[in-house]
Amino acid sequence: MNTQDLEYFTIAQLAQDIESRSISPVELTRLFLERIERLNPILNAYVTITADNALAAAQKAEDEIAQGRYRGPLHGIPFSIKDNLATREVRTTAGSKVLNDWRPDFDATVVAKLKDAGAIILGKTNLHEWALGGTTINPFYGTTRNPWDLNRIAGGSSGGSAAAVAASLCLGSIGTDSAQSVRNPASMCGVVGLKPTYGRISQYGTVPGTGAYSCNHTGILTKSVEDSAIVLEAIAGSDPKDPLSADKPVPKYTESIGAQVKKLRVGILRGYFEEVMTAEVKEIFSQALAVLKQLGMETEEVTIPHMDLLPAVKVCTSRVENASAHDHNLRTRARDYSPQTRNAYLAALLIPASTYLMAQRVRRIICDEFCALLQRVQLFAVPTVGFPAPTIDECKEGWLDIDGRKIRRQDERGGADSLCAIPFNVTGFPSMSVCCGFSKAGTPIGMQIASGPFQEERIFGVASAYEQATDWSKRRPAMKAG
Amino acid sequence: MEVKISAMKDAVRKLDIEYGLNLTEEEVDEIAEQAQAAQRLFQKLYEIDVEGVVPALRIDPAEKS
Repeated sequence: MNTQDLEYFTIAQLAQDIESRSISPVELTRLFLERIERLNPILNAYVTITADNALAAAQKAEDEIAQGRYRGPLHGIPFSIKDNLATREVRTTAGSKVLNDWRPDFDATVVAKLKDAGAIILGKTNLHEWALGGTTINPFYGTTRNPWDLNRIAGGSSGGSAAAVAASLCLGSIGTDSAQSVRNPASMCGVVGLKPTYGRISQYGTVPGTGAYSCNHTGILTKSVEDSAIVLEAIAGSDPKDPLSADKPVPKYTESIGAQVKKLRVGILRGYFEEVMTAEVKEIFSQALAVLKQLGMETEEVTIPHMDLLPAVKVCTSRVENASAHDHNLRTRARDYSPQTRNAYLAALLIPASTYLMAQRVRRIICDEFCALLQRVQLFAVPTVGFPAPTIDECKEGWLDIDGRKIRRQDERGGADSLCAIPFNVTGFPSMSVCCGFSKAGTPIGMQIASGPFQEERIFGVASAYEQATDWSKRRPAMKAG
Repeated sequence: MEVKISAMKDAVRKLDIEYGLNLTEEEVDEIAEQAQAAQRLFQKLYEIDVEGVVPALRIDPAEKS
């Protein structure tokens, strides 16, 4: 086995080899660390690499397995963690200067659960400053580059996590998603990104201010749909430390892989986001829908009466909730924010409380309208992002080209790249991005498959059927690992 | 009703003093313009009938499943 072989492994495949002791967790961890050493200087996916801790954990895993104490499919599997999730005694920056030397004395619940499952933590991944944006062009920790094209962004805010999975610098990564932040980079890097139902995974230990309280979700980035199901099974569940976590049983998600999908009704979501969608993305998405139909699913176009109000609800909710979390730092360390981020939070402090409450009243209407759609369809499909990964230069200039139209990458509605994703942050519905094709420039395009609350099993069933029917997930970026 | 940009700038200046930010005039302008653009976006929220609608202060999808 060499570092190039790592590109073709998934968690599901390696778990069997680790359990049967034909692959050593220590050897596996060494190979990943070697690959990180070679490729991370190019990609900047990791901001902190915890090699010594990882090797010690791998040795422990190897010893336990040798003694017949196999913990399950994550035992000995190398992971990375977005750097806004607390890791005990390991620097956790949230992509900010304010926390550039913070070493928490506790683990986020999701990190603790991964460690309990025997996973090996290789390090912490880069993100947009305070997770507030979709480029992972970070003024303090550098830009994460897209493994498919180094001149392009990896998306964000969990850009480091997506790039790490796509470039095989880990087998899975944990991110967070308040507007798009798991699904957008998953789409741009061609990996599987799951934002489960609101409250499905504990948010305890997520750095406050890196996602609005009522819109944020802990999410999962993997190479395959089956891997996503394996990870969700291990980290989902209620948490007494997180009052917003859901008190619902955790199903055997892996049993949904390969489930019957015929006759399922899929709603093709229409709305305001189509104005920032290129013809190329529309065409690729339409080919993906054709595959769903070939698999026996029925489709119909759907929307809700107040769809156009969704960005206003999302922006108002996020900005007010985030600004609240930043109040102390804004009073004491305002100059330790980038001007763009600081100004966004300061502007948010001027939003009246009555406007926030109005947004929550409209949010109730929107959630009810989405729930009503679930009487007609069991799933939703929509592109993850309306355009392929832009170049780093385009993002720095602030403009995007949508079929010859020049549009601002960021306006009062937030990032143009978030517009397809936010319906599922406002409603809390689960949504997964899977690769559904490649642009002419050779970069991946993603499709979201969403469903009703706690219907992740349906998503796993449909997404795995789609994955099996196509070969997009088998492609790998041409990273030279030696 | 849209708040005038001058009123928004005054609000930013008050914030500047309260938070001890020492903002430049250029920064005051930028923040005020952002706040005004957001306010224009939020104006749409007031155009629909929310009579009897309770705010979604707790998103609990379990209730709806």
